[in-house]
Amino acid sequence: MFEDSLLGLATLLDPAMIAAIAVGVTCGILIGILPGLTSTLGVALVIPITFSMPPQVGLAMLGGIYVASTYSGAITAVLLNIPGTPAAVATLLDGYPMGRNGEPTRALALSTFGSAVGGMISVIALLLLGPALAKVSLLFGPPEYFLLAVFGITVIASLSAGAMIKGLIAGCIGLLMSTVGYHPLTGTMRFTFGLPALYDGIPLVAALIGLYSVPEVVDMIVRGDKKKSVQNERDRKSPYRYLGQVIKQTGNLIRSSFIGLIVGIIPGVGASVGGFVAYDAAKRASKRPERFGKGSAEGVLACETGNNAVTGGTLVPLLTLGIPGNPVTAVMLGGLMIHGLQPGAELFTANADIAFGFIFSLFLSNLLLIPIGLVFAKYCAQIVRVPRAILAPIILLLSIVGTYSIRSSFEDVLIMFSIGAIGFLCQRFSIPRAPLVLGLVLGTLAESELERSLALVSGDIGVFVLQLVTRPISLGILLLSIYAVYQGVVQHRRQSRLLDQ
Amino acid sequence: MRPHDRSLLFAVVLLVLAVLCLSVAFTYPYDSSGFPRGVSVVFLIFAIVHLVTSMKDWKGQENLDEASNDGNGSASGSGAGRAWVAALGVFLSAPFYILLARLFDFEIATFVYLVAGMYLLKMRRPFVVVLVAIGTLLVVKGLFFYLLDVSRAPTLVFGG
Amino acid sequence: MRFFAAAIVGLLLAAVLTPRENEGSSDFPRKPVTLIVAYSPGGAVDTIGRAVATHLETYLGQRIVVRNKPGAGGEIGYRSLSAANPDGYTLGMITAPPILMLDMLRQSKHGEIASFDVLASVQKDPVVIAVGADSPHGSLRDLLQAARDESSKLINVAGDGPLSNNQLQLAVAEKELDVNFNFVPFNGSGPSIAALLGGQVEAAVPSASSVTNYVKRGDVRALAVFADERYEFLPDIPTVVEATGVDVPGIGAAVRGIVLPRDVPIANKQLLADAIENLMADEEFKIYVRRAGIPLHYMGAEEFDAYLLDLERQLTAYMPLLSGAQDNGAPR
Repeated sequence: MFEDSLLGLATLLDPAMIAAIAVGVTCGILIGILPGLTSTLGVALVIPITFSMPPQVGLAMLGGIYVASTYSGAITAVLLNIPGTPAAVATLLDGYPMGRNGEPTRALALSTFGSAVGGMISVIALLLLGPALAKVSLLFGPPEYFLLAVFGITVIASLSAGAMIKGLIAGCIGLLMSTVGYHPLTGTMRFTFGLPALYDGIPLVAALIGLYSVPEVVDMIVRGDKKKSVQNERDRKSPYRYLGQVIKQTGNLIRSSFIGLIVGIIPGVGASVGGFVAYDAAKRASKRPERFGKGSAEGVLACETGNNAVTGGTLVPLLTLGIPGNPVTAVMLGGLMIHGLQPGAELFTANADIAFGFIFSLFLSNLLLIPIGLVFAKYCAQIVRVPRAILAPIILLLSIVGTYSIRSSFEDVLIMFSIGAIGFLCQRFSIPRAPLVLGLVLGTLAESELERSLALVSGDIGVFVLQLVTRPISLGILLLSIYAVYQGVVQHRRQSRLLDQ
Repeated sequence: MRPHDRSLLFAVVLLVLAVLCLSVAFTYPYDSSGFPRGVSVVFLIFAIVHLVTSMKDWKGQENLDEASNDGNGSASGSGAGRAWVAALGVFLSAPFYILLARLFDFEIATFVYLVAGMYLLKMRRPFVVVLVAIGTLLVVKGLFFYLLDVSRAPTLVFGG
Repeated sequence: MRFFAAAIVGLLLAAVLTPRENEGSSDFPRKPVTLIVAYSPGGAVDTIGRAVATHLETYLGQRIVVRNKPGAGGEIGYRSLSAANPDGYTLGMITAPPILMLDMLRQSKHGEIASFDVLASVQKDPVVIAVGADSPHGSLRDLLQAARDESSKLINVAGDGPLSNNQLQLAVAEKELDVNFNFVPFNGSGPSIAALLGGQVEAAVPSASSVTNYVKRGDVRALAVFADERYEFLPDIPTVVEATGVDVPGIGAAVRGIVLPRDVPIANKQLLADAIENLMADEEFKIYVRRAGIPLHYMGAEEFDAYLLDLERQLTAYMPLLSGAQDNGAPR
């Protein structure tokens, strides 16, 4: 394998590869910034262009787009309180407050470095542990996935600290919204009111644009052009000055990367959950958890490291087993097949230079996103200077066209605005939106896997419950969840006591 | 309506929503609605708790208001009103754009939308408005319809 | 006032920017052709659609643009296809039986085959029944015997679902072979195979194209294929009639083809049909597709039409099984 990986490394010496990676990263950053555009769309549209390229060059470009678009949602999250992609929702929690406190450069620097590190660590894990991780992932069955979803849902409670009941209600609303569409096992339609646009459920990207863009624009209109706190003296001019701060948080970086990697291996979950769970873990491990939600550096770093580490994780089942776990890898699988490449063990033997070349190109992509991303961020930071009267209509227009472009559907635009109404009400009445998003994302996984687990034992609830405690992995996750809830309650009590004092 | 009145009303709305969700969830067959039913029940419980705490807060706020003899409501009254008007405008802009896009085409809809938006928000310097509108139009057009190959919708006037 | 004057000027400018159709030579096709794929990018329909579209360009002399319009199990894409201008510039990929099943399950007008004129079919991807590599069942007969054993629980079979052609195929097989399985829907053939590999289920009914590599590597043991002939990439796997002696109709096989909305001018339709026929006979294309493991199966317009009519007839007989099978899914 060592010789093969050297072959892969050699492919990087081709200037076409480097160019492809740079182009991919640049396009990816652009995609992540614009609302409505996601990694999936970007990758799907580039695939035809890659037909005329040698496979490793095409894959390198796709990898660049994937990695960069997962990162760059953080730019708009920090600057505008709008997540550019689902991955960046958790970054809103501390990234935007940090920006508002006068340190936008710091927030952007932390996001960029964190994303790069998270991505690189997950690629290293892919390279060294790929097959082993894949084997372990096969041991996860519906009961395990269900418990993982439950564990993810308990993070809702952590995100609601300070407004527990409201956060829990938001979580419930999110979970209910996730049930819109057909039942994963019986096919019965729920909450669709006869609209085919809703048969597959509420489109996540449209929901996010509605939940965050719309209320933010309304707020912009109301705020007017009052003096926004731009930068204060504490915020350094060059983002590279913050590299030291990042390197010091090794524990956070490694833990968040590990979490992102695991989340990536689970099919159908997505980078947003990686960000949330990493954020939650960082909060639990932090010595100053009360700073979370107000601009904590640990929080920002955890989210961005976690969500980018998910990219490497999703590639584990794709490359080693040929099973795509999310829409992006599904498109990549199509791309591989069109080039005549079969993912799986042969990819690493018969086409070793392509397989390893791809993995090394990913490493380079993560590295390149630092300079390219920071340049973009610097120019995007100027956007907050634009008068509201110009910025607000433009953001709304981008939201509309972006939402339309997901499925070429105007109905989606209407759905987006309806959810925007929900988002506006949440903001008005201080209901946290992060738990809602988490509920929306995890609800489908929780319901599908619960139903599937029950179907596997022909509906016998008793046997199912027994499975949860007898299957070793299930038991592990169950204990972890219980511990997490317990710890959450303890922390909440401590925080309330602090507030009372 | 004062802020704490609104909060109480909202708590009531949430409770109504929970009840609605529960009742709709029960119209679906048993096999297909286990999860929505369960979550609705939990939602209902939380909504009730929330209403109770909101009522306590409301009572507390009422007492405070009486004590300080302040019948004017808080300073955020007018600001809050503006937010609702702004929100309404934003939401109505959606069908407005869609109608234009369906009737004419994307270019005209985008241009009119941007110009109207800026005008309503008090940006009325003609040169700036037209420049921004055309500029954004070109950028979005190039990005979405050329680079990304998004499909254009059929329109009434120009076909497609 | 100056504002409105400027606004009007700008509006005219915007109107001018509206793209007009550039008509080149006077023959059809004069501009790029659109192929609507009613499913997500990267999926099986999208893959064959793009493979065909890329190579059909040389035969048509114009670019073919693939548009994905996923959602509602294909309904969204099919609706937009039937609403398209019948000038021959918009084509669609369909996959049967799902398009027929959509119609029967949802009373959706635009899923009806009657709404489309078929051009040709390009692919046939039958359903395979498989078990894990270390399963005690060496053949389909073994599996059936174990399934018929009254004393043990129903055997769990994973497959794409709910209400997919794989589930349909299994239901038909259960009826014809007089056996009962516990079908558990997964999110596609891929996850079904993963469940099989991980030992979460005892058997699976994936599509032949998705399981081929696993069978070749020995990770999965394919017991039989539900078709009249053996699958081209798995020549060692017997058909179900060879394995059991019972003829189970292979109506669950996914047949994918290209269609037009109704009332397209005959000349244009013929030109398109001829181009597709030539492409499917092109040896280079066949080699390229074979290398990617994508199965090809050509049926001209009339043959495809007849196949679909026959399929519809058989479906009417078998669809009630699916509603029965729904209860089998998660009885409580």
